[in-house]
Amino acid sequence: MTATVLVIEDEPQMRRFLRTLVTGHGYRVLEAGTGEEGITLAATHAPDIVLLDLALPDIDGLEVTRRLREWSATPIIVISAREQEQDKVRALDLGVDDYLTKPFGAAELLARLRAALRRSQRIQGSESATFSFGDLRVDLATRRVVRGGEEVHLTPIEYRLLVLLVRHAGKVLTHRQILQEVWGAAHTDHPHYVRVFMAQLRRKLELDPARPRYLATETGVGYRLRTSVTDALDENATPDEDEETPT
Amino acid sequence: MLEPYVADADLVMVYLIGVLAVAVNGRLVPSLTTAGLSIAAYDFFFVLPRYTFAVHDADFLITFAVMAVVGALISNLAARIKREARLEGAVETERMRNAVLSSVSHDLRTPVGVILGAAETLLDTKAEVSAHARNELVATIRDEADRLARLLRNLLEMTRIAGGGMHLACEWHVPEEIVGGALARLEPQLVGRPVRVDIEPGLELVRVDGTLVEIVLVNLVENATKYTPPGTAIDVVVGRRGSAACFEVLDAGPGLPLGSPDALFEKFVRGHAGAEGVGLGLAICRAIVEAHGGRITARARDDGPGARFVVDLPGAGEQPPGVPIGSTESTVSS
Repeated sequence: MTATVLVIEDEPQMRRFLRTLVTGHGYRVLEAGTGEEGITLAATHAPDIVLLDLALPDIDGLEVTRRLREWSATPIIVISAREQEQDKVRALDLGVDDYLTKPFGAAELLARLRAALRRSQRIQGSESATFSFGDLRVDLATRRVVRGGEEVHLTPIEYRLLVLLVRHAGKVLTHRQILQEVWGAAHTDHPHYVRVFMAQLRRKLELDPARPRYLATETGVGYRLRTSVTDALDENATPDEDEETPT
Repeated sequence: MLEPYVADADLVMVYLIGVLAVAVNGRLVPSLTTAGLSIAAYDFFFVLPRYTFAVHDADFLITFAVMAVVGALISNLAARIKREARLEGAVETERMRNAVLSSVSHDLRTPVGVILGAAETLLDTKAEVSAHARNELVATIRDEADRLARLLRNLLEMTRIAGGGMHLACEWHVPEEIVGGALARLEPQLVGRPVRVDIEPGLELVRVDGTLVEIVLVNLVENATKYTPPGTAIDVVVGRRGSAACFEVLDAGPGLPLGSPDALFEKFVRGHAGAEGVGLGLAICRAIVEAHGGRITARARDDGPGARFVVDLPGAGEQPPGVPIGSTESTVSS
């Protein structure tokens, strides 16, 4: 079944580009030029995914997010300009699934769309107990992490952090979200906790911790576990293909 | 009651300092008003007969006159100095704007021209363009647009910085992550180049604006890719120097151009005339580094050919309070 993408974007040329790109890859498109229009369309047409520009003429993207999230769990990907870093993070903390920074390429957009749709289509409860990426295998049932055949010893916090990333594989997690899940709500003002432990994880799990292949840092935003090395730039997969290798 | 401690001369000094303080921090009218009021207060509280504006000793009239003249002079002088400083700022902004305009028209015209030409060729129904050539033209449009995006990004950054818009958001960062972020942003330019990253063990955290320092590293490493032959190595070294964090980017290229290394950091200066870019990268680096209270220098390597850019940033002093780690036992359960 073809997925429907709701594009909420006020600039006509941008809308045209998104429409052409998205329909060219087999999706159906709904378009809205204002935030209000977008919310209405979302309510009446139940799209499978929303592409939302943070800079809208009537109500801002964050407000649209807040209102959509009041009643909908539909994946939302926000598009923002480089200067709007704070807004990006706020949007993610409000429940947006992913983001794109202008100028972005077609491949990046398609990859994010696919990943977000895949995640939302996964049925709860059918989550696999093991997860593999690269030469790493994480077995959630036995709480073991194996790298290239050898066991890796992780501290409890490191393990909790890894599992969080694994459960949200392919999706960006903000510092705040990670702090909340791993350290609890009392520590959400200490992003450096996350940084220190991500550095430790990279040292234990990555070939080159300074240039990680899977434990990716999204500067100013948070972290993302890449499900495949080319996850960000996969041009060949079609919308319905599943690229993960859960076993 | 203060009489034994305060001589008349002291009071006049206090008066002068008071007027000067108001003149420097405020404007002309308030400082003149201060002068007038101070003279009146002096008369009222200190000059016999006390608590009246009358004056027994006529000499004091001369004192008041001199105080008034001096007060007026100081006020005027301070106002004039401030006005001139403001003018200088405006002249500098104007000069910047002109330099930007001439640079923009010169360097951005080429990619725009190429894009227009390619697009028009593709739209020309009368032209015989093979599928292969079509692809090439489209790829050219994409590449030139990329270049434009990079140039514009630098220009925007510089305009924001020059407009005094640099607001540091310092947090505790892992140096390896900042370096990694910069390298990730330059992946296409780093293809085929060995990059060595060396972080001093024990330098866990540095207190800096991570996004801005990443921009500094991006600019330094990008310069290294532009000014050194392809395939030559680039080293990024991070260490601690006292309470400062030291980020260094070293290359194995031809080294710095002749002339003062400091001049490289001026706006719109490029390594060599034909080089790509607007010449703002190093100026942006300096602005960011100085906003942190740090220093950036360029010099030749002393262990071989090539250039060495050194960024010293305060912020590696006291480490933050420990991170709660829970127990350190491993997760393996038997």
